[in-house]
Parts: sequence; structure tokens; C-alpha cells
Amino acid sequence: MEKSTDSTIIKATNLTKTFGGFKALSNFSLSLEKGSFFGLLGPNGAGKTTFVRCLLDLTVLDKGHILINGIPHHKPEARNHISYLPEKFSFYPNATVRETLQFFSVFKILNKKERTPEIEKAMEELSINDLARKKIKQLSKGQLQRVGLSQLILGKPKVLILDEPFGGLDPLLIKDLKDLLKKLNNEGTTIIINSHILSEVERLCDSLAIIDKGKLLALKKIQEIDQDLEDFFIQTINSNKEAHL
Amino acid sequence: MRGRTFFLLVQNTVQKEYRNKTLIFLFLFTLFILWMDQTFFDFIKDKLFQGQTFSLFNFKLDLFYYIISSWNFLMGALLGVSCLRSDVQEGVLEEILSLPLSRINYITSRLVGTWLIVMGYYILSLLLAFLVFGYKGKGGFDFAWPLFSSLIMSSIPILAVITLGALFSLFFSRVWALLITLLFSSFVSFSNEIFAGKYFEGLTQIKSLGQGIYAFLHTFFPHIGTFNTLSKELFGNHELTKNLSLELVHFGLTFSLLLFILLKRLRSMENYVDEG
Repeated sequence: MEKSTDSTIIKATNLTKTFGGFKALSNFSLSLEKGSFFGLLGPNGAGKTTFVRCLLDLTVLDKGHILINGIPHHKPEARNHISYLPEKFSFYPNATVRETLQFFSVFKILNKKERTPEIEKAMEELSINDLARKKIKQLSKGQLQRVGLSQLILGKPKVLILDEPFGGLDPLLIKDLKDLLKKLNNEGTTIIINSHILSEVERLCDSLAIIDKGKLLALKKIQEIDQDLEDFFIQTINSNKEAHL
Repeated sequence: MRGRTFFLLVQNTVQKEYRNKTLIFLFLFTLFILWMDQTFFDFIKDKLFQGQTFSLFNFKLDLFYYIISSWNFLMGALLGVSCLRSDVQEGVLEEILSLPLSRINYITSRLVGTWLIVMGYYILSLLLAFLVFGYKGKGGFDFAWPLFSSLIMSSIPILAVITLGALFSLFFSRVWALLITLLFSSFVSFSNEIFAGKYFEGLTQIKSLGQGIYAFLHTFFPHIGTFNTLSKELFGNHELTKNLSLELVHFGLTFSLLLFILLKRLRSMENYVDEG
């Protein structure tokens, strides 16, 4: 299989996905560079989650193709270096936190001897060492999200995908999450965040895309936007609405 | 990587049921059946054969085997319906499928894990029965080979029932999937009786709608009833009345078809979270 030799880690070309009569993605194309911190913005139902699901082969595309590090996205090995955190992380309610991380570590850490130290490190990073023996069903929402983040960073993935990661989190956890993501990005990890919280995207991301009704409306680096991000976002969405009238 | 993840998921399948206390419930149920079996025959012996000394081991084991065989059919359906459905209901399926593993790897590991639970339970139950009933060697019952071969034979329809349960669970709720699996398996077993010894010829002998449906079930689904019959024939040390080689070939083809349909269904699901 061909590996990407350039700086592009994800290349999505002409993606189309329809659910019934509803077009969730419409000729959507996107390229992401390695090491970027990318925000995918859009109103509810814009197609952000559909794009992520297509990327992870959780949803079958009608048309188009995606390459992840040069590997077609539908091949399992394309997800070797990707870690995904859905909007609501969950695992088997009767599994302990440690058992949960052990499960994910088998997929993410090839060397058996490295798994236990990596799990300990991930728990330390998210301050959940004292939760190791607690069952998933006994955790609060915030604690569960920390466990989700712990599995996210296991095995030093090259790409992190987070779907609406800030929703419903307390300020302390939001701060911990932002610090963690910045640290990982500085170490070279490519990060994709789906969000509709513009302020968080503005502070963290170096590039963003705006999507609405399945179409890519804007693709820019943060520093190229010479106005308030909220104004830019609203302007872009409204221009698209006017174009359709 | 594929082998490692396959075994991990098989292990995870067993652990899931252990954590859900399913296995503990099954163990307690087995003890209850053993106790009832022992009590029933000891009562019969005391009341009808007072003063006589003979071993009731064979009778007890026969009854226990028949109960456990029927129960395993139900257990296969119950656990089959649960093996994929529980991942959907607990919201875990999306996380698992976003990992670097193929859908066929996921499906087969869940089916194999579930099958191992049912067969493991079957074997442990029989071993427990031997201990409880106490084999004293009287009567000359040569139990080793018939029991062993019967066990292997019965593992085949159990795998088919588990797979049917898993498939229906992706279309219906757990309760409905269980009912449909049990009914469907019964209809398939009945069709195997009607068209016994035939494979695809049954489709050319349709004279009514009902016969057509049974011919379709017999041709395109694993012969659950036939393998159960073969299992009983082996246990009783009787000659086999079916062509085992052809039956195994038919099973291979129809089971592959079931797996293909299951894979297609999993692929076509737009939502991996149970919102119902």
C-alpha cells in the first residue's frame, strides 16, 4: 500500500452522502496537513459528524474517496493511528476503568510490555488513577469523559478526532482538555475538532472549515480571518443561504 | 494484528457475559436442573424399586442431557440476540468499529465468543452431572464416544442459532429478536423434517405456498433440525440416517450466506446507537 510522502495526512475528495432525501454531504473535499489543529464548524445538521463518520468508515459514502496517510479509509489499517472520541463516550457499564483502557490499548499499542505503563501514564495525565477499579456505570459524566480522553491518547496516535468535545464539561475539565490538546499538537499530533463553540475553536485551532448543508463554504487558516470569527461564521452561513434563495 | 484483535474480542465477549452475571445465573440454573433430576429418579427408585440395588446413572444422565440440549438451543438464541445488540444498546459499537478492525473480524469474534460460552457451559454441565450422579461403572454404558461425538454435532446447530439471533437483533429489539429467532429456528427445523435428505431438489417439488416457504427455509438456511437429529442418533449410539458430508457442505454454504447477510446489515446501519 502506498503511504503518503507529502505533508497531507487526510485527503477527502468529492464526498457525497445522502440519507433518504437529505443530502448530508455534497461534493465535499478537504485536505489536512500533518500536525495541523483543525476545527470543523457548522450549525446543527450541517454535516460535520457525517464527515467524521465517513472518515472512520462508520458510514458508507455514496460517492467520493478518502485517503488517510495514503491508505483508503475503508481499510482497517487506515485507522491504525487514529483515535476517536465521540460526543458521548461510553463503554460496558460493568467494566472497570482499567479494563476499559486495557481493551483499547490492545488496538493502539502493539508492544505488550508498553501497554501497562502507557495506561498508567494516560490515567495520570487525566487524573483518574483513583478511578482505576471503579466500574464505568459508577462514574459521573465528567469522570466518564476523562476516561474517554484517556483512551484517546493511548499509544500516541497521529490523528485525534473529537466530536463536540466541550459540550457539558465543567470549566476545570475544559481547561485540562485544552492544555492536553495543545501539548499533543505541539508534539506533532494532527487534531480535528467538530464544534459549534466558536470561541474554543478560535483559541485552539490554526485552521478551520465551515460547512453547511453538506457543502464546504470556507477553508481558511485562523490568521487569515481578519474579522471576529463569529461575524465571519455568520456571514459565511448567510451568504450560502442567500445563494440558495 | 488481526489474530490478536480477534482473540481480544472473543475474550471480551466472554467477559461481557461474565460481568453481566449471565454465567452465574446459568450455573445456578444447571445446579437446579441437576438437583431436580437427581431427586426425581431417587424418588422413583425409592418408591417403585425398594430394596433393589442398581445404578440410575444412565437414566439420570439421559434426562439431564435432553434437558440441557433443549436449554442450550434457547441459550444459543438468548446469547446470540445479545452478542451484538448489547454493543448497540450500551453505545459501544461505534467506538469498537472506529478501531482498526474489520467488520467481519468483529462479527466472527462475537459469534465465536458466544459459541464458546454455550459449548463451555454444555461441557461443564455434563462434567458436573457425572460428578453429581456418580458414575459407578455399572450397566456397561460406554458413554465416552457417543457423548463426545454428540456434543460436537450439537455445536453446529447452536452456532447457526446464535448467528440467526445476532442477525435478527440488528433488525428488532431484543425481545422480538429472541421470539423471532426461536420461531424461525423451529420453522427451519420443521422444514428439515419435511425435506429430509434433500438439498436443492426441494425447490423443484413445490406444490403450495406453505411448501414453498418450507423448501426455501430448508434450502437456504442451515439444517438446524437435521444436526439435532444426528446429535441424538450419536448419543444413542445409533446409525446415522443422514449423509453427514453433504450436510456439512450445505452448512458451510448456508452459514457463509448468513454471515454475508449479517455483514451487509451491519454495513448498512446508519446509526450504531440504540435510541429506542
